[in-house]
Amino acid sequence: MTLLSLSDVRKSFGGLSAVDDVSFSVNEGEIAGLIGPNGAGKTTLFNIVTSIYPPSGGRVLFRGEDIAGRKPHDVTRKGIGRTFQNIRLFPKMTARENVMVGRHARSRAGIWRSVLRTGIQRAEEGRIREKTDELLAFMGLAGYEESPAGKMPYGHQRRLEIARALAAEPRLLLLDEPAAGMNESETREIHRLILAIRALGVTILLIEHDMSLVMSVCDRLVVLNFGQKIAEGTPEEIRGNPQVIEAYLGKEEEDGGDA
Amino acid sequence: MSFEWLNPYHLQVGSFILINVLLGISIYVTLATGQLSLGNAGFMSIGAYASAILTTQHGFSIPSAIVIGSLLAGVSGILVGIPALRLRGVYLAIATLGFGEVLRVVFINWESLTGGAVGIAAIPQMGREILAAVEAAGFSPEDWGLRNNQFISLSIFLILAAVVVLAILFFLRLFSSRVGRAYTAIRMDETAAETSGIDTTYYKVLAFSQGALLSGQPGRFHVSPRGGDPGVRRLRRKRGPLRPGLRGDAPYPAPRAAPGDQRLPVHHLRNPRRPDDGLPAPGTDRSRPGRAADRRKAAGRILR
Repeated sequence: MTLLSLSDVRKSFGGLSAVDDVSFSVNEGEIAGLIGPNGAGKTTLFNIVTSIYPPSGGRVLFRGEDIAGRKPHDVTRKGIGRTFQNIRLFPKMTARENVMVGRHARSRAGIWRSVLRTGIQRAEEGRIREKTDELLAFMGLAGYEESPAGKMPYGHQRRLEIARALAAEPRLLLLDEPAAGMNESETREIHRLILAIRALGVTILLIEHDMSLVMSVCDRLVVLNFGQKIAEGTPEEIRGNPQVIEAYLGKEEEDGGDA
Repeated sequence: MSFEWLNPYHLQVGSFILINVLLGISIYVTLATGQLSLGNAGFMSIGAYASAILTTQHGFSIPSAIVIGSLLAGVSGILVGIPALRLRGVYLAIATLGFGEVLRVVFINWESLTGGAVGIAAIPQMGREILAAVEAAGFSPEDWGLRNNQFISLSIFLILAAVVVLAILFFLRLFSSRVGRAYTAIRMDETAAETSGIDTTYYKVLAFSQGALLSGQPGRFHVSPRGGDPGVRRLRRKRGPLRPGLRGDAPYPAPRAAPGDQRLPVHHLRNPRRPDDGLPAPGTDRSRPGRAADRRKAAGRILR
């Protein structure tokens, strides 16, 4: 079943066309990969799907519903969570508070309930806390609940950001380079976690440059280059696709010019 | 039991400190979402003028005038807060500072409503009203060992102290809740907050109007303890509320108040028993002599 579908999505910044008529869809329960060289428009596409940028054209349907004109927080509530390429945690909050913020869309207490500390509010805070600690443990961050997020090791920050996104109970999780800057063992850990998140019933769309991770974890890949989709298929198909090889490695020219 | 040591003047100074504590909190609340609003003196003047006009011209009781005045300030906070969403950092500070300036000019020139620089005369004083109410109920301050002027100052001081305690409790609880986490998240990273499911527009405007509402309250008290003209006071209070908010540990200072923040005229500290003759001590008025004299004559009861 299709969870997310993009049709002819375009985005231009002035004269620069960052995303150009891209169409693809993500099915429920799969792990889809979005790859392409730097500047191909992958993150822009994420920003369009989470409604941070309005698309210049085309439609984004999430569970059959157009997300056009929705605010990002509303998109989160509808069930799309994301992380950022350059980690964006709340640095002076503790790890626990960061995840509790992620729970915002799934809780309700307003000013008066908060100030009067009603029974409903306290019960809700208790549930938020429970869920938060559960998620931290799930992401392998048990014991770090009280550490300030900004002071945690880099790999932990990446995982904390995923925990925060999961706190909103997304149906679709967008991961923007979750393994960037990680060593081999940390990357293996991310690999394991991505599969574990899928096992929770969350569909994943992943941007990643680490090809060994992408090829082993993704069910399907979409390749972008200069804002256009140049290929789509299983990792095996993509691996042998001449256009993809050209995008990444350049074209062999007969006269031996610049590759 | 005697309270001979209870000096009404000291209580008044204490009241002004509490007023400034409230203003400090009002700046801090807005700042909790990362918005530096320098327009709180403006919101304070809305609260002050509204309640002064309601009591003198429309026969409202003082408590209801205070409530209406601060609600009015809160509503104007929403009105200012919405366009302010488009501004960040120092530009927001400039715009809100400008808003306060505009209000000041409006109040000084809208003579039919505010009396201009002359101000509003015969504003009922809260302390005296309380005294009258107590006496009407068959009590007398002497029953508690207080002189009338002690009782007046003490009642204002205690009311303000209660308001301060309530405000601090309110925001302590708010900040340690879902709403407070949203405020902090917005302050630290607005985009990340928005993608975490926080309606940043709602919370930013909410914080803005809470700050405005809170600064509208002491506006009335600032008029009440002494009576007199809110307009001229506002002129001098312009940068006052900033100080408690800004002097603390930047960039997210906790509200605090110290006598130095109070803008107490030097002579008041040097000579606390100086009778309040309504004239500034020599050398404390740095504005142009001609205008200052006019203002003094006009307002009659200028504090300093």
